[in-house]
Amino acid sequence: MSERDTKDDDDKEEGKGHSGQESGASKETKQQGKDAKQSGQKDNDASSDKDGNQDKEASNKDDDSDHSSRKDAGNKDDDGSDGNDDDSGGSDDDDVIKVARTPTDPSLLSQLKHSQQFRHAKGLGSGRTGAAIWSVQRLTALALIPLAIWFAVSVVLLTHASHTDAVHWLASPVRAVLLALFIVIALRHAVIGLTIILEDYVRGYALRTACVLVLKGAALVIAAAVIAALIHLTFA
Amino acid sequence: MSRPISPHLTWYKPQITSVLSIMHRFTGIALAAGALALAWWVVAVAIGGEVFTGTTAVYTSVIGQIVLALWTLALAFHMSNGIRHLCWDAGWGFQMRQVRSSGWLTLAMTVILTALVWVFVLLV
Ligand code: HEM
Repeated sequence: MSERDTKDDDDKEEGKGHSGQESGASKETKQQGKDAKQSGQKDNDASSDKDGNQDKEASNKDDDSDHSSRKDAGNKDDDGSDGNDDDSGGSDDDDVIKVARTPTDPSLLSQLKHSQQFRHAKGLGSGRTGAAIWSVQRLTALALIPLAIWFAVSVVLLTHASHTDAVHWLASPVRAVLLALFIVIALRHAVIGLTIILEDYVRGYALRTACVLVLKGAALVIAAAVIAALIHLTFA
Repeated sequence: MSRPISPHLTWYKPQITSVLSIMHRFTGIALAAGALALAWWVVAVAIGGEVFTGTTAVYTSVIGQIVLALWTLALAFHMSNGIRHLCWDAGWGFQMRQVRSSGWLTLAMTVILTALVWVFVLLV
């Protein structure tokens, strides 16, 4: 988890705004990201006396500046720093990252999640989709426990398999489905994990994005090849 | 900006916690490579003929067997430690004492599971 936070810091530091996993942020967005970073910092300093929860929220969520809840939160702050809130409402600044106050009240937060801006920003990849990806990583991990055990046992039993044995073994629809599930879920799990690793170690937006795209492409090709092979074996 | 973006391997004193943490990452990468090998095996079975014979020859060679043994080790470790991770995610086992003892339990499970698989492979 901490790796992800570090990555976010890195991006802000470089003024790149969204470090999208898949889609390229436009130049405009990057520039705006830089501005956002500066105003965001100001905000953070001004309100740093608020409770610790905020740091976590602020690094993950959008500053949804023309949403009413934002203004409410700003007013609670009574430190006069909400000047930043007023400059961007409705303009195409909407999908800019601003690291700033986010309401910690869960109901306000869920309102924020359903706002237009949030869904807009979501398409830009990382920083917006972290929580969902986190759950997918856990769910795939959970599914992989029984699948991996089944797979290990099967491999043991197939140790001295001839080609005929192997074909026969794979031609069973149940086994083919289980094996396809194992490989597809493992690939999904691995793509998420490897993406996190790439985001930790690969410097530079372009190179990082290229690596992630190659990774995803490779996983897709592997999954397709395995499924094609299994279909071939099952129906041959 | 050239700030460090991750702790990399500049450890303090190696501890059960930090060592297992980085091993989870290494084994994750190894397993991803292993998934590639598995996918290739399935494709090779489908193609058959020389492709299958060649693949089998590589996988059953001495080096192939060593790699497969290491892969079993990686899977056993990653799965055991992954279960440990999932327990943490469910909010269980966060006391320092528990984190350490579950770490040793993970290592024990890794050895047991790997041994189990290979005892069967070599005996069956
Ligand atoms: C067998 C059951 C498995 C379980 C229970 C499991 C569990 C997990 C968990 C909980 C994480 C997140 C760790 C964190 O938050 O730092 C993780 C990461 C990862 N897993 Fe798995 N996993 C399993 C199998 C696999 C397989 C088969 C592969 C490869 C094909 C794989 C590749 C990875 C990778 C690359 C990471 C990222 C490591 C990192 O961020 O440092 N896992 N695994």
